[in-house]
This record gives sequence, C-alpha cells and structure tokens, in this order.
Amino acid sequence: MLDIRPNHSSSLREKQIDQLKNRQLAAADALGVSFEKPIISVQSLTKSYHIGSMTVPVLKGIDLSVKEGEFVSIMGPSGSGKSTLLNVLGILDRYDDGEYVLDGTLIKPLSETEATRHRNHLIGFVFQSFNLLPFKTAIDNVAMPLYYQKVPRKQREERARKLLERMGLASRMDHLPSELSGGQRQRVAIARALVTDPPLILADEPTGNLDTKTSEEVMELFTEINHEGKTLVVITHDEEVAERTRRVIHLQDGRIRH
Amino acid sequence: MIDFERWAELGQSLSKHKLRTGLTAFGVSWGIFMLVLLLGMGKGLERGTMTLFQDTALNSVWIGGGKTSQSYKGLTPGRTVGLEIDDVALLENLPGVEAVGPTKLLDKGYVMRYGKNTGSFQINGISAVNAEIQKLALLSGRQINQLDERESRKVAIIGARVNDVLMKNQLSPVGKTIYVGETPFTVIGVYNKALGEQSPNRVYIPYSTLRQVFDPAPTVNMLALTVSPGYSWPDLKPEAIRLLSQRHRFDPNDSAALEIYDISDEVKKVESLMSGIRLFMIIVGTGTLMAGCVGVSNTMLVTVKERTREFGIRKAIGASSADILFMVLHETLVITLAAGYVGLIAGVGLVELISQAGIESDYFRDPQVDLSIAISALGVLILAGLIAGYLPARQAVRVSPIEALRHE
Repeated sequence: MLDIRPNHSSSLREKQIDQLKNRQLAAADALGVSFEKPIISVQSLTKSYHIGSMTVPVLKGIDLSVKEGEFVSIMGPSGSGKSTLLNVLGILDRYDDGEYVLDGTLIKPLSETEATRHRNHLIGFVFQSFNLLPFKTAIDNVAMPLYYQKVPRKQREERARKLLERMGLASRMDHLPSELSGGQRQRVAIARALVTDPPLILADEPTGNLDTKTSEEVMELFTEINHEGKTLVVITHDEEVAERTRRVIHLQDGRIRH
Repeated sequence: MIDFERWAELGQSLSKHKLRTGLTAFGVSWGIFMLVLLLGMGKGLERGTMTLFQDTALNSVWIGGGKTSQSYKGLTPGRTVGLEIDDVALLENLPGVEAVGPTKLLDKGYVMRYGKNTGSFQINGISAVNAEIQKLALLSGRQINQLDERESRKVAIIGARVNDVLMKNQLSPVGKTIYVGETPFTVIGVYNKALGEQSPNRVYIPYSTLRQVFDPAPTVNMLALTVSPGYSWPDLKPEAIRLLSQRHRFDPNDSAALEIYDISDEVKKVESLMSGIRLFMIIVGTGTLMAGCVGVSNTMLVTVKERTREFGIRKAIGASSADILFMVLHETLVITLAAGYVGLIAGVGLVELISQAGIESDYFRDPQVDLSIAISALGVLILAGLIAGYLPARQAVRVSPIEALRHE
C-alpha cells in the first residue's frame, strides 16, 4: 500500500531539477504568467501584534505562491514568524495588509462563519502535539470534522474507518489516544486531516514529537498523500524534514529569504 | 437528525468527564436542596407558632389576680388580689366589652372512675362564654352551653388523655357516665388541645356545677374577656382596672395587682418575630443561592479554561465559534437543569416526609415548600451557570486555535 518513492537520500540531481523548476516558476511569476493554478497566493502580506501600547511587526511583507499539488516546507528559526504565517494561511488568524487568496477566494473580508466553512472544506491540519481529543476514540477523532460538516453518522464512520485502515490502524480504531503510540497518534491526526478530502494540508512541526524512525514514516505518508494530488505545506525547523519536500521556503525576521 | 447528533455529542462529552459533570451537578443539587429545606422548615415554624393561638379568640384578654406592690388607703403592699365571680358582671357592663367568662382550676386532682378504670385528673370550671373564648378543640361532642351553666348540669368535656386512661380510648365516649368520687358526670365532649395545656388531661365542667359539687367559694382563677368589634383593649383597660381596683381596693397604677394577657398583643409580638425570622430566611436563602451561583460559576469558569485546548482543536477541524458556544451552553443547561431537578425533588421529598411523619411540636407543624420560589431559585442558578459558561467560553473561542493548541 505504501509504495513510496525511496527519496530519503534526495539526490543532488533532483535538487538541481527543483532549483531549476523554482527559478522558472519565479521567472513566470515575475512575468505574470503561471503554468499551474496556484492554491495559495500571498502578496505583500503584513501582520503585527499589539502588546499593550507596543506594536510588534511579525510578518513584514510576505510574497508566496504555492501551486496545486506542491509539497512545500517553510523553515526558519523561532521568532521568524513561521507560526503566524501558518495561522494566516490556515485562516486561523487575520492579517493586516496585503492579499491572501486561497483556492481562488480572497480571504481577508470573510466573515467568521465563512472562514470556518473554508477552513473545514479546504484545509486539513496536522499538529506537532497531534491534538486529538483525549476522550474520543481514534475513529471518533477522525470523524469529528465531518460532524461539523453535518455529515450523517453512518457516512462519517465509514469514511473514518477507511482512512484508518489505510493508515494501518484497523485494529486501533476503538482505542483512546492515550492507548496509542506517538506515531499511531500522528497517523490518526493525519487521517483526521484527510477525512474531509481537503485540497490543502497544513502541518505544523508534524514530526517534532516523534523519533527519527517514526518521523520518516510520517514523511513517507506525506509524500504518498502529495502524490495523490494534495498540496502540502509543512512548517518545520528540521533540515531532514525539509529535505523531503519538493521546495523549501526560508523565513527570517518576517520576510522570505531568497 | 441534527438535534440527535448534538445530544449524542453532549452525552459523550458529559459521560467522559464524570468528575467535572458530577461536581457541577452536585453544587446545583445541593444548593437547591438546602434552599428547599430551609423554605419548608421556615413554613413549618411559622405554621406551628401560629397554631399556638388557634385555641383562643384573638380579641380576648385574660385577667388574673396578682399581688399588690404598693400601699393603698392604709393597706400594706403584698396582699393577694383574688378575683371573684361578681367581677364578671362588673366588667360585662363596661362599654366595649363583648363577653366575660370565669375559669377556675381546682388545685388538687380528683380520682375519676369509669368501669374498673380509675385516674386522677384536674377539674376546670368554665362558663359558656368562656368555652367560646377558649375554643377547646373538640374531637367529638359539644361545648358547654348556657343551659348547662344555668342548671348546674353534671356534664364534662374530657381530655383525650383522660379518655385514653379511663375508657381505653373509646371511639364514642360521648353520653357515657364517669364518676368523680361518687358524683356521676355525663361526658358531652372530648378535646385534644386547649390553651395553656401541654397535653389534654383535664376535665372541663360548668363553673356553676364546680361550685355546687366541689368548691362553693365564689373565687375564679382568671377572667376571660372579649373586646367588641371597633374597640381595643388599650381603650378599655384604664376603666376596667379602675372598676376592679375599687372593688378589690388596690392602687389603679399598681401594675402588679393584676396579671393581664392581651392575646392580640401577644399575636402581634409573635407576628413581628415571624417577620424577623422570614427576613432572616430570605437573607440565608439568598446567601445559599449566591453560594450555589458562585460554585456553579466557578466550576464553569475552570471547566472552560481547562477546555481551551479542546475548543482550539474543534475550531481547527471546522467548528465555528457559535458551534462551540452552543455546545458549552447546552452542556451547562442540561447539567444544571437535571441536577437542579434532582435537588428539588430530594428537598421537596424530605420536607414532605417530615410533614407525613407528623413531626411537630408547639412551634413546628406541617412544613411545606413554596414551589414557585424553589423553581425561580433553580432558574437563577441555571442563569448563573449559563452566564458563567458563556463569558469565558466567548473569551476562549476568540483565542486563535493555534495559540490554544500550543498552550499545553
């Protein structure tokens, strides 16, 4: 089932191809033409936090474009604005200026209800600390997003079961998160992110709490999902994780480093 | 369909957090239970106290002889003032006096007999007027009337205790004859409660009969007097005392010469005591309710704080803020309503049990719960829970999910 390209020793040649491709894409962006439809399109995006009377700028003009089917990682030291960028990309937080278009929709003026609807239909989240509801079984956790889409119980359970089977967790469906290993929990979380069949998966340090072997398994799973056509954006500070993705975006001090 | 889904989700959330649910529920239940108990007991206290007056006319005044404390026309203080039967006529002529009747309680007990059973009981002589004022609570039979009095009939109203001892609690002792010494008396009634008696163990006979059979002296223990409508005792008092002081030769200003109990005054005193107790109960009840509100609010506050992360997760996977707020309010409403109902039933049940068990004394009887107050108290608790759940929940759903999620 997991027939994944053995790419853990990403070859120099592949890197060169990617760089070439990125240069072409950058050139295309500059010319205003695009070869593929962008799912994420961010222009001159800024965001500041207000702490008391102080204004702390966090994102200082981000330009970013992610095409459908891409597998991108965003890297940067702590304080570089990674999490804030993920919040904005995930429609979990507002931004101040600039423009963010997700799947053809300008995100800024959305009402809270619309934002929720877009989040529910377009984005699946995977977190560092899994963030499963501790009092729900694996299958119930996976089915939760469908509950908020008002999908009937039977269908919810069927889809959740199929995904968990695919994740190799057929025998763990009725277990609580506390009865699962870290890797199993993250696979449950990934199944949950996939259950609504969103075009975009946002992952925030998805391997941060996992050992090396489990991390590799998770990254293989991500690659497989990417091959199925999903766009993946992974935030990480782990070089090895970044190397597994097709494109690495470096964030430093609120700006993208070219 | 959607409603069913919400209930299923709610059921899971509540049953998976038994401690949290239990604590909130207990707080609400206990608060309502205590409040209901307090209200019920208060009502019992009020009813018990007010029944103290049910066996006497509320417009009556009782006058007895005392001991002079001042010298008067050459007479030394310390003389006993003894009221007599002629004082009845004296006071009856006073404008504003409705009726006057004597009572005379014989000091020693008399041996009475019915069949083989004997017992010693006290005899109290009263007039027909007095019977009306004193309102013996009759279980069966009739009161002493004017004919009994005029003809000095040998009739008796016996206490329930007397019936118990002499006739082994016969169901219809009325018409039977008991012997006091060798004198036969026809039983005309049985009473179970009378003013100034701990238990109904006396025998009431007409005052005139008492003088004829047992003690010819024209003395009385007390005069019972009722005030005509439109008059009050304070208006009549100076003239009544003046008349009595002339006859019995004491200083009209000597307050020790007569013992006077104005029942309406006593009733007022007790009523003011009751309104004090009622005020006290309102304060304690409000306090209980406030403690309950604080308890529920506190639990809700902590609960919501504790659930910030859960809310973050739910939001990230597609719940709207409204979904989460609705969930919190739904849970609060269900817990407080169910727990409040349990507390209400338990409280009302206990009060009813006390009432049924017939636990009563001179100051306590028939406790009862004012349901409308108890239910509005429950309403206040539910409202407190909802506000206490809503405010922090609104705060919590405003927090960006990622912040909520990173905050371990």
